[in-house]
Amino acid sequence: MLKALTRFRPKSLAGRLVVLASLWSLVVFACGGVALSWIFARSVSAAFDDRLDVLMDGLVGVVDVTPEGDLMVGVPPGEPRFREPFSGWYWQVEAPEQVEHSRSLWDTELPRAALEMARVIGPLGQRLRMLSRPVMIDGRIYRFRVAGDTASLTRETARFSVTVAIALAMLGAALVAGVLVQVAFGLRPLARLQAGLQKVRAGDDERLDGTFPTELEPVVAELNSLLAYNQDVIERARAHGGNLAHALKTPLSILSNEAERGDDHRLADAARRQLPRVERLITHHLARARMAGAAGSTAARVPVSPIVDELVRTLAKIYGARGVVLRRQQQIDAVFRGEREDFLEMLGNLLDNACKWATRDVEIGVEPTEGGFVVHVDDDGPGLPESERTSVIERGRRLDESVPGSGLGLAIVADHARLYRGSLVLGEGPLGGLRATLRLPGVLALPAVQPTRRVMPGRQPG
Amino acid sequence: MRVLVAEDEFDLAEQLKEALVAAGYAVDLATGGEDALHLGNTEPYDAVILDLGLPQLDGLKVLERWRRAGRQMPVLVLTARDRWSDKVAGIDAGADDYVAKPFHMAEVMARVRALIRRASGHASAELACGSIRLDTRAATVTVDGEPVRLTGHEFRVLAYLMHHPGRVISRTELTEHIYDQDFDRDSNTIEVFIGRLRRKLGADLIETVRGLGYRLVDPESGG
Repeated sequence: MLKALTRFRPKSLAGRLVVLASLWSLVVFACGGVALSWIFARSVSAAFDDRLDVLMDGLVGVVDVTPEGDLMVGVPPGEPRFREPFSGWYWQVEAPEQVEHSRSLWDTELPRAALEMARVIGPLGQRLRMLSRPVMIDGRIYRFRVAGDTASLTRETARFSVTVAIALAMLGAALVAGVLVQVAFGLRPLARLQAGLQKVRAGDDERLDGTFPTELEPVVAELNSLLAYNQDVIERARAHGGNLAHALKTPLSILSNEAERGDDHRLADAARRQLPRVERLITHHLARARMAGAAGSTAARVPVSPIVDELVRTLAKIYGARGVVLRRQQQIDAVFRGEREDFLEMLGNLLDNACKWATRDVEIGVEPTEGGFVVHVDDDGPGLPESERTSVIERGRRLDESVPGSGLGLAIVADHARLYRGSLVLGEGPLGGLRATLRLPGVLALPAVQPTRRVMPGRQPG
Repeated sequence: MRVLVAEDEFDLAEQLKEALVAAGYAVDLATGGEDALHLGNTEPYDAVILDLGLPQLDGLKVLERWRRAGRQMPVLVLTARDRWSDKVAGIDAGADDYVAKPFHMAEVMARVRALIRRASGHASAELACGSIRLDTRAATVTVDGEPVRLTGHEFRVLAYLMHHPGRVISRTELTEHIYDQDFDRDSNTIEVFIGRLRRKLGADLIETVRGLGYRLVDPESGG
């Protein structure tokens, strides 16, 4: 039984609690009901016996014996049903050679039981309870008997049991309902915990916040440290990858410089062909490793305007000597939902590409879209033929070897954009050159955006 | 023109030095941050190539300290750190240009040239003075289109004078900008170089200002 119970395991915690509570109350109420019925039956039958006793006394009181020894029985008080035939209530007095009985017995007699209190079968198969008492009158023994039908007794007990069962069943149902409510309310923090974890997974939160019940606090604390540990492992792996890639760059520079010094040795030749591949692989995978690390947590919110400022300031210094003029839209109220580093990387590469190709002008603008914003970067350079626009994004192919750089810039932007469920599209711009359109999820026009700032050239602590 | 290369990787530093010397620059090497900081603070460099990952003292800190000390020489940051946040930090710390490793030597040379030119206010890669043309890209000098053969030191003296035309330049200043720090300096040799340049390019080109130094004279602007 216990084994069967333990084998039956509901899937949900609520199920467990409710099933256990139901089983428990079933057992308690069943026992209680049985006990109540038993106590009731006992007290009812005691009352019945008392009544038989009283009737016996009345019967003994109305019996007389004539000097000849004949029985004279009057009308015993207290029970009119002694006179109704087969009413279930009977009396009988037995002398050695004579038997007197109540009218209700008609032409039958009560069975002669030896016990003082006995269960007997009366006329018409009635179940009777019979009290017998020997009485000594004038030196002779007379046997007095009074009997009553127990059907009413049984009926009453049964009616009581039914009433008790109904009452207890209702009480049990109310209890189970109470348990249901209690479980639903009591387990609500678990639902909150789940919702919190979902938010962490979706990247809306970095950790579980808020207060939880004392029983859940250790779990929440463990989960938070697990999340932190995870983040830490990712960061460390990312840092290791980055360190490796960075450490490779200097030797790579040395080798490719040596190879480029033009002696036509076969080794130098092979190096000249292979080293750029190594370089591109490093750049590509380093960029991807950085992104993969950032993908874990996108809880950060980055206002776009200061980032545009930083990049315009930086690029103006690098490309200013070449006569490139960067212009930015004055009002940018967008907020990027993601890592600051990723946004810098995307916008930096776009602007860098535009500056490389521009004759003079580069313009950057930000526009709202549904669920995010769009960044336009325009230049007045030669643009890009339509046939090459997708390949430069998809494979990061280098279109012109004479312009420095790995040629992966736009491909890296596209990769980043995809990670953030955005996109990069190249097309013709209003300045006559290329227009790069970067679509990103984000938030627009938050109330607390700093006022429009002009680009201030000047040094700031990095 | 004198350039400081602050790079801890010996092979790379040597390559840079070789390429810079070939382009007509005097070159000093620093392999640590403290070293670079000291040289940059005490020697009058025309440009600096600065690696950010220097031992002892980070390149970015070196740069910030130079700028705080008022050192204004153009600085090209050459680093493996190629994230945009690094670039922004580098430029904000006072760098004038930023090249990520691995790089093409030709590109770094072009950028160093551009930085020096910009610092002395020249727009073109070719400097001119009368019929004399000095091509900073190829490190060649022509007179009326005819190439002139100059030694390395002669070229450096002429290049420094042509970057600052019309200005009186002392012998000490010339010495500081044409020799690297390890060279056994003798300001008398400057006179020898000036004499040879006058012989090769014309006696009127370089004027001696008694007690002060030398000045490049553009015959077309009349002095």
